[in-house]
Amino acid sequence: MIRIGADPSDTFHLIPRGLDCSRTYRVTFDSADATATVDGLSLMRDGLRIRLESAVMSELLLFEAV
Amino acid sequence: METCTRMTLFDARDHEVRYESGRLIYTEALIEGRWAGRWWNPHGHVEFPGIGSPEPAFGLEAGGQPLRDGWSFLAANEAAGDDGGVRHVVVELLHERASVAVRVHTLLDGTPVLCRFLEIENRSDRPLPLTAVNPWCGELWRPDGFLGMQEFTLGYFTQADWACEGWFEWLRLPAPQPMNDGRTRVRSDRGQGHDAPFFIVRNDTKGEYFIGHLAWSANWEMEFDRRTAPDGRSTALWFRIGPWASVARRVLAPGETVTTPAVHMGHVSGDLDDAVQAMHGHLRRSVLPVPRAERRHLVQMLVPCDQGYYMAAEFNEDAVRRSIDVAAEIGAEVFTLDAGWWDITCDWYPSKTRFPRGLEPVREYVHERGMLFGLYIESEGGRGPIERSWVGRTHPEWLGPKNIVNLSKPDAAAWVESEIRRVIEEYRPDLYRLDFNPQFTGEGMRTERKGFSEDDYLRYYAAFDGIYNRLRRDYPDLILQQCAAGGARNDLGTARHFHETYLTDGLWMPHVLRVYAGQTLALPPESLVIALGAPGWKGPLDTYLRATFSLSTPLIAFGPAPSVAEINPEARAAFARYGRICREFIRPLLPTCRMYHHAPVSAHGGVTSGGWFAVEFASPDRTRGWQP
Repeated sequence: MIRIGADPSDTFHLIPRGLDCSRTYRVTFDSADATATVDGLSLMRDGLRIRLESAVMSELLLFEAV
Repeated sequence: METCTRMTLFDARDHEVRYESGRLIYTEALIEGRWAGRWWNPHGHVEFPGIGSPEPAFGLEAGGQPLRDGWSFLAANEAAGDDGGVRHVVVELLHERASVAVRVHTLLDGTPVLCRFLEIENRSDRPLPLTAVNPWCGELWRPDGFLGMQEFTLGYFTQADWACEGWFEWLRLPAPQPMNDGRTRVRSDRGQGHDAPFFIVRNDTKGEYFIGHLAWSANWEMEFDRRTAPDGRSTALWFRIGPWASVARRVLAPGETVTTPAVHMGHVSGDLDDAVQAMHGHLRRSVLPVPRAERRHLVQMLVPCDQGYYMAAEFNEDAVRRSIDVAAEIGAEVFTLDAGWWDITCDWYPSKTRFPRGLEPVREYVHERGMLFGLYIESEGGRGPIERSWVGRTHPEWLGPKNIVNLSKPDAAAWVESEIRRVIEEYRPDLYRLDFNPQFTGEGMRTERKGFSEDDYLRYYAAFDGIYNRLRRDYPDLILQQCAAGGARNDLGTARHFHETYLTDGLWMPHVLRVYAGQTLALPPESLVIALGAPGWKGPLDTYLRATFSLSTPLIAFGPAPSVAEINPEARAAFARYGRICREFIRPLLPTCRMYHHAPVSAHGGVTSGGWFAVEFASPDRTRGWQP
């Protein structure tokens, strides 16, 4: 996601809708060049909170079922 | 499970024709001389006999007289031929008093989106001016006493201005005054407006959507009317959509037939994602052309002469060679020679002073560096000193407003096509990039025919369609890409002829992301070419690269530096990194991915809502996805 303007919060709460709640995913956080393993149910129920403080900052997430 | 496409004719029940595509069922029938759109159901439920709307399913006006009633049924048949698994149904109707025959064409491809167009034939012995044509209209949702007062929300592209493609906003119906007179009427009358004729309308009471395109690149009008039933206890929603002009859309000679632009409209139960994915699925399955597998979604870089590092006289063979080196260095797979390789627009020959050896050395060098060669052209004119060109000097009568070469004139269209073919065969591009820059031409050109004033656009785009149908057939390996002062023709009328459609000229961040969020409601992401980096925008590189390489077919405008030696080493590494993600992870998934709009466009927000951009892509089997 990309911060494109003023918003009361510096954090975006992303709840993916295209995953499979029965699978487990390796999630790559591009900006940190880091990965985490997260179950699909948690991703689709609780989501991820991505903090981007300034305008035009961004994050790219890749999801791969393991 | 097998995909359902079926047409059933119930002759004894008012010649009812039932169309089924996926779970969608839609019926039409002859009710008191009207060809009526009876009912829609997105769940596969069949309505009880006798139930249905009496409202006509198309709108036609001849010489100012509406032809609502007076139709008789002739036949309903499936069209012969191979439509790639698409069922093609034709209903033939006759209006005896006006001596007009209409063939109602419906295409079913197994998705819940149907394609509808009309053939209109003048069977009289005198000219027939078509003063209104709506290929599709009728009640989308009927009054429902159990549901009471249904509420509806309309979303559409609200801005016709340059760089404002896909400017999607929601509006509760009916629209407030003065936009409506009870009805909500949306019109694009600027000619080449950047607001493609696309809509999404939601029934907030039932949780259902209609999503639709008019495949048409000139002026248009659509109308929605939330109607209260006579008992005052329930509401319905009626609509119409079609090309617009203040004069006759077309004057038909005796015996002549005209084909209308198509409407692609789907009815979906579910959420906005479901509606958008249904439209994307339809366009992928049966509308948009796809290039050869190894030529899909390649990383592109282009250089024009009117912006970037090399402008005007500096835009020459030497500068282009330096740019080709830059393109190869940052991982581009296509290098496109953009605007300005000629001296006079419409004389499509390389500039004698800047490319004295022609384009062959450029093409050869692009190939030598391992890339495909792209070439830009503005074949219909529309800007520049065209009066000094061959066509301007010898055939000024072919030129219309803003020096457009008027394709409605058969000789002019033939010349344009022959010049495109010469450019393709002489300069041998691997990618053909069409642009069209007249900006707004209003109602454009008119021709007096048999005492009636006719808007030229229907003939113009019939010629345009013919040219690109033939070019696609004759040059199957050529990647066809279109832009029009950015995305003034990001409608299905033009986009259906091209493998790639250029998103916008509004390349600056974050504006471009708002455009993208709206435009991708209408077109699938892989069909769009996204370029970021307006000349004045040199913002965060990682954001620039994430957006360029993960949203659509990537196009790098101008390049990161004027020469290889000047590329920042860390920037070069970043290009390599995101190019790799694009090629290895995203490109294989892009053509079939499901897209989810989180922000700023969502089920309740338009392009200007909020300060975040978030879209999500997932493979159909849900094993992979990405979130730029």
